[in-house]
Amino acid sequence: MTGTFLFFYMAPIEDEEILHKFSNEHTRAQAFEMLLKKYQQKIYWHIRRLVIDHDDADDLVQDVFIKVWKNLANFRNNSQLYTWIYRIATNECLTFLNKKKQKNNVPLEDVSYELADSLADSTYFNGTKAQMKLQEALLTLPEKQRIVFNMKYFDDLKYEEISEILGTSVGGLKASFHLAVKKIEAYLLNHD
Amino acid sequence: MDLNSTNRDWEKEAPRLAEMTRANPFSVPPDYFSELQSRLQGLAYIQSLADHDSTSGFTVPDTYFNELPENISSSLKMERLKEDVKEAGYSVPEGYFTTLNDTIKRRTVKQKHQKSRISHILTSWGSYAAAASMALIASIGIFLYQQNNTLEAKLARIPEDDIVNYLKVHSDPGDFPVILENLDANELPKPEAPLSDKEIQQYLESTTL
Repeated sequence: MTGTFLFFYMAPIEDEEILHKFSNEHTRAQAFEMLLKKYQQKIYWHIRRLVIDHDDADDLVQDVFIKVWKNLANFRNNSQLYTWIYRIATNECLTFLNKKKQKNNVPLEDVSYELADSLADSTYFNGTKAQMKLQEALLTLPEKQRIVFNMKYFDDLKYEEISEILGTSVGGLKASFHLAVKKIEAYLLNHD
Repeated sequence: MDLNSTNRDWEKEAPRLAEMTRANPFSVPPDYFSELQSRLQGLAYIQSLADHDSTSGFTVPDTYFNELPENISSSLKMERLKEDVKEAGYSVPEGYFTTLNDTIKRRTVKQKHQKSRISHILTSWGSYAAAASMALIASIGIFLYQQNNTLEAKLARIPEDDIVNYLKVHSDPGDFPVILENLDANELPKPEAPLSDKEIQQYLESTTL
């Protein structure tokens, strides 16, 4: 019984331990494995909620962690490790969405229509009708507002943490979040 | 709306949103995250090889590592696509491959016959030329052999002294002028003493027929 308990209990991986191991060339690979175990899913879902399509998210998550690998040695500890990774992921997503806009030569709002189509056609969407409507509502928001909403609503991050990630003030983030909530509520009411 | 609130007061402002469960509506392929972990570790390893200064001298094209994640991703997509779509979906008319076989054979066998006719002609001419050359060489050989085997050729090979000595022993009286003709003046025997006219007359009367 104790053995079973111990089997299922996994001590949380501390960022300090990851950084310490990563600083040593001999334990770098081990550190990276620990980092992936801790963050890969969180980062994946953060990306996925922004770009909708699984394959796009898959590409981006690889890009993000390659950047993490390349730059972690230079990480200065002036922020939390996971906010640093989140920032990289968010920037990659914004770059991706901008490229999509440029590639298709469409305004940003039309990129949202494309994402909405992707949502409708997606094999990897198992939500209810209500959840589909929520995602559609989210796609009507400006990108930054959508990011703030996702991090607050789905990831339950604190405003201070989101501020570290986006480099926006806490006040600005609160305003952004509440505006997003209003628009979504209006969308849900109007598309009943 | 109270912007200073850090609690979930927004729920009062947006009841519809608040009553929705915060479940994740998105899903991923089976085993995606365990596969992702391996893939990311692999990419990191490759990146570390690229970054390492003391390389074994191998290099890669400039954009290789930038393109690698995309290439790996494309390969994986291809694999997944192959699993989903096993055939290309093209079809051919019934019996196509059987008739194709015959068509190809017909065209290649015909060509083979044409080629063998031409090569047959060339081979014939070649053999005629070879036969003619052999005949010419044989003729020349026979001619030369015969040249070497005439009486004059044979005699030319016998030393003159041997011929003269032979004639001295085996000659007829008619051969005497021939012998004299071919003898060197020095070879003529010199009498020990000069002969008188009377002796010569007697000799001639005794030998004349």
